[in-house]
Amino acid sequence: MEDTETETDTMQPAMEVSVSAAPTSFDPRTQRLLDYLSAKSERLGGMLKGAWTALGQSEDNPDLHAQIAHSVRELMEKAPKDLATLPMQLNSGELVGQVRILSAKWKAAAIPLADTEWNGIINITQKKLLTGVGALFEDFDSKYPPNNQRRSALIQALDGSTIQIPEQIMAQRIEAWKQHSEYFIAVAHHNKTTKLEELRNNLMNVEQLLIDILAPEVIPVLDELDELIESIEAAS
Amino acid sequence: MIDGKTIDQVIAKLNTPVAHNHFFMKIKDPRWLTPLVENGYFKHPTPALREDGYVSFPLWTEGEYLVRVADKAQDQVLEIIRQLPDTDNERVMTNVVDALLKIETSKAVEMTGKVKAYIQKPQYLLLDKSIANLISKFATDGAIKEAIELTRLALEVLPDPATDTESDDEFSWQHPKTKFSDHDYHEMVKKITPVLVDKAPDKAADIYADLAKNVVRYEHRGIKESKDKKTLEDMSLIWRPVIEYAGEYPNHPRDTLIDALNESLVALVKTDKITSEAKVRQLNGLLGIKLSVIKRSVEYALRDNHQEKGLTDIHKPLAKEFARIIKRPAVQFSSEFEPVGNSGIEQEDFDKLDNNALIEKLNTYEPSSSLYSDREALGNNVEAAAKNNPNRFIALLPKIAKTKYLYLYSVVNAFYQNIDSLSPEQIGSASKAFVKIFGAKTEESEESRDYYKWAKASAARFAEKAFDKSDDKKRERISTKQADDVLNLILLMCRDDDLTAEYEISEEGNLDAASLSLNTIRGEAMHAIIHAMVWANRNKSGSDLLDKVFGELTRGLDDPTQTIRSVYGMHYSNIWGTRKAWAEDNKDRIFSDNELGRVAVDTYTSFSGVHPDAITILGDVYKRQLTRLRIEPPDEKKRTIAREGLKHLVQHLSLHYWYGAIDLANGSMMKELIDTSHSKYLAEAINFIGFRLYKSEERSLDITDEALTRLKDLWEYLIATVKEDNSKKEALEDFGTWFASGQFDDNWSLDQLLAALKIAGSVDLDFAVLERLEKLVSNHPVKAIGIVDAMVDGATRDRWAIGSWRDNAVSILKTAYQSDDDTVKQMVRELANKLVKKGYEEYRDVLK
Repeated sequence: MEDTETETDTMQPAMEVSVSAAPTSFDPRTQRLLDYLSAKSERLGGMLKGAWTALGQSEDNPDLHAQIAHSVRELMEKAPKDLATLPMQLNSGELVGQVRILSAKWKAAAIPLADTEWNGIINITQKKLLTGVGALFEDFDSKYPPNNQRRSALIQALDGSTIQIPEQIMAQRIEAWKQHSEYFIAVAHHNKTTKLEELRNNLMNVEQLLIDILAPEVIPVLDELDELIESIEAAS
Repeated sequence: MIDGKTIDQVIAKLNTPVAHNHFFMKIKDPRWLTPLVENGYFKHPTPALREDGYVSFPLWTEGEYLVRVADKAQDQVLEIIRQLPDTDNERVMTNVVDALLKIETSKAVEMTGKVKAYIQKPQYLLLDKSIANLISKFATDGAIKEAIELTRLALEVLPDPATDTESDDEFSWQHPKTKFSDHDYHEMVKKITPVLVDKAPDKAADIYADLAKNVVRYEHRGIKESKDKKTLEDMSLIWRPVIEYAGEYPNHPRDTLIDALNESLVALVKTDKITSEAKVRQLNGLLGIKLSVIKRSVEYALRDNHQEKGLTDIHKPLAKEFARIIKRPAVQFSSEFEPVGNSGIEQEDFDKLDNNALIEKLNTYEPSSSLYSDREALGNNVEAAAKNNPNRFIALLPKIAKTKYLYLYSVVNAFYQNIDSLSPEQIGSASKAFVKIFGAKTEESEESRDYYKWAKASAARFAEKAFDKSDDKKRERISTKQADDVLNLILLMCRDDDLTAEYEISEEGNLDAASLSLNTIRGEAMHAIIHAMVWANRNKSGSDLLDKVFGELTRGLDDPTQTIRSVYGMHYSNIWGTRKAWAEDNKDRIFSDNELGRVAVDTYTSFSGVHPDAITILGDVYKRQLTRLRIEPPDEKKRTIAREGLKHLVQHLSLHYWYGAIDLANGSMMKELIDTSHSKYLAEAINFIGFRLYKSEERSLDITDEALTRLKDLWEYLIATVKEDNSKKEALEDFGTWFASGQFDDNWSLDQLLAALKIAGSVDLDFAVLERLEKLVSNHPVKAIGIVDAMVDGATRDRWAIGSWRDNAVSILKTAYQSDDDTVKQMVRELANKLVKKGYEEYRDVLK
């Protein structure tokens, strides 16, 4: 890393970057998501708007791709925090790792406490201790689940519906979330080179994913499904 | 065949949960099966949902469709079931079993292993009916082996998981566990038994005898062999006094299984499909278990059916062993289903005993067994006799007191209960007799201490009642002539030493001070003193009696217990009304600035009405309590006098504010309350005022414009305070009652409700809020829709709330959708879409 003191101490040449104006209108899908996000969280709306504004900038900006990706990555990271009450911790730390190892050991030991026939030599205090440890792990597992379970809980919480998301849809959403998240993090961190068109397409995919989760237009879809079902079943 | 284009169109639309579920709940045609399987459906059943320590079983709509088409596409559905991965969701398991119910038994039995695996899972909330139906279907169609296997597993009885083998003694009763709730278990057995009994009575008898044996043994560890070693005494004489009737708890698994065993055994002995020899062999096998209840069940089955060869030989010894209880149960039950013992003497004969014989009987009676409360039954004889002839028993009291305290208690209790049938003279004489008995030194014994205390407590209550008017309120129970005798009894009880500060501590979390005052002798006596004071005031009885009363009240202020101090708080307004000077002089002692004084405040606010002059008299006492409102109130489940008292303090102050006795000026109590109290107390204030507003019509309350202006000022001050300090937002939820009351102008209430919702997320009394919104939506559609939208957004904490809003909310949206304003229409469309997305499909109609 370069010495930042030197950079600030000396006059740098002017950066001739052409900046286009922020788009004044968006396509209906983007506008729908923008309205939704802005109503719930000003900063989320700002991030989406920021991504599109950056996409409209000239490619003379040498860090353009990372800046666009950074906005989208932030949007995906902050959306769960701003839009949903998550049932679990999303950050894991050292303690979490330790407890997870211990939890695995506990499971491996497979002490058959629930087995009424088992009469291993432990006294009642030990049994209470073991039962307590078991309860702790159960609690831990529910609060600090593995990544896929965390993503699943995140998507269910974002969905905000009383309906449990069917596994098939959940699997698709988890995969899409994971892929896009990894993509935009890699680009934002300059670990991946990309093209503007690819960025745009991926941003649109993220938008669609967020719309499907947060604010899909379901009533027209149900009407169309009814027509399709009718067309098949009326004949039978 | 369904064409590929249509399938692609459908699949493309199933990318949201609501569309997915809508589709699978609607289709009925088995032709969808093949293309759906090809597109990966039916492979991922929805798992159970575990959240905050609770488990729920979400719908698996694909499974619902499978059930719908199972009979039309049996092999295809069976193959899907075969391939289905393991699941922890009981709804999925139920779908599978329900589908099997629609498939021919010869094919469905292949899946017995899968169903057995489901039964072995730990959660059993939904499966019961389906499993019972499947067993019944299998048995009916001749798949007896599979039906029996499933029955054994489904009805399995396990030991009480809370059994502590080290600390539980043999007398403690355990609660054996079954896989289903008692009711569901009972219903399952009712469904399964008739078919099993019809098809295989011998196997049914074996299963139920085995299960009954387990439930009895796991329930009671004190099972002992009888002296002749032929029977295991299982206490069934108590829990099943009559073998053929289940009694009070027919759903108890123990009784459910005995009923089923009875039914199976009767069928077994009657059937002609099994030889006599086989029957004898099986019955002898069951008798080998030796449990009394199983032997009784066999006896019952054979009672009218032992003509066959060998059966009489089995029945005869059983009939002899249980002859006594076949004719008359060992225990009978009163109307409250309490077991009642038998003293061995009819009431009529007891009443005829002369005094000597009666005392002799009480002195010498020894019950044959302590199990069935026979001595208490003799106490009941005494109580009934004392009610019939009070004079005789007033005279006999000294002698009865020397027998057993149980009988003394029976007499005192008879007089207390029947006080309205006693003359004033009898009340006076009884009081004098009580003073002699309870004033004398007694020899306490472990065995009778409780009855002695209960007798004293009853005497204190008797004295308290004596100073009240009769139950019909038409006459005084005593005159001035008896007042001193009764008061002497009270003063004696005021010296009782059963109540100590240590005892109060031992009762912490169980009984608070106010409750203890009604459950201790000295506490009860202090209440009686107050009743004597009120009696003297009412009857203008002169100052002598009142002097004694206030002498005792002065003395009682030195009592170290919260229990006694609570009585002062409870009755302070009566004391004030009787001797203002004494009340004023002793106010600071009663409401002292320590734990005792705080208890007095708490009982005062909890038990006294709000008096207009209370701020003048007790303003400084109220003000001192405000600091107590700063910390979070105790847990609602722990009902303590402090919790109740402070809650009522907030209500008192709210009411004083309502009527203008206090205001919101700087330094005022109400301003301090809003500024400094914990949010739960602020919520209490807003809720109390709100409900008073909401119920004003029902209570015929006349609310002045000045009061409404004051309340608006209070609300606006509160909401401004919450905007500064978000930790108090919970208080705003209670604005629902204010809004629903309709007391304030429409625009103000709509604006405030929306503001409260945006900060707090939800409002209480949501149904009433929606009812009022229904009336306002025509004139205020934007605000009304905005409010419903905010309620929907805030309903995340209570995910079921929205479902209960349906009728009102649909009506509000429909009315708003009639608006000519496109903005309003768009708002309704968005809100309806949001609700449908959340799974409330009924809102689709709003846009039609």
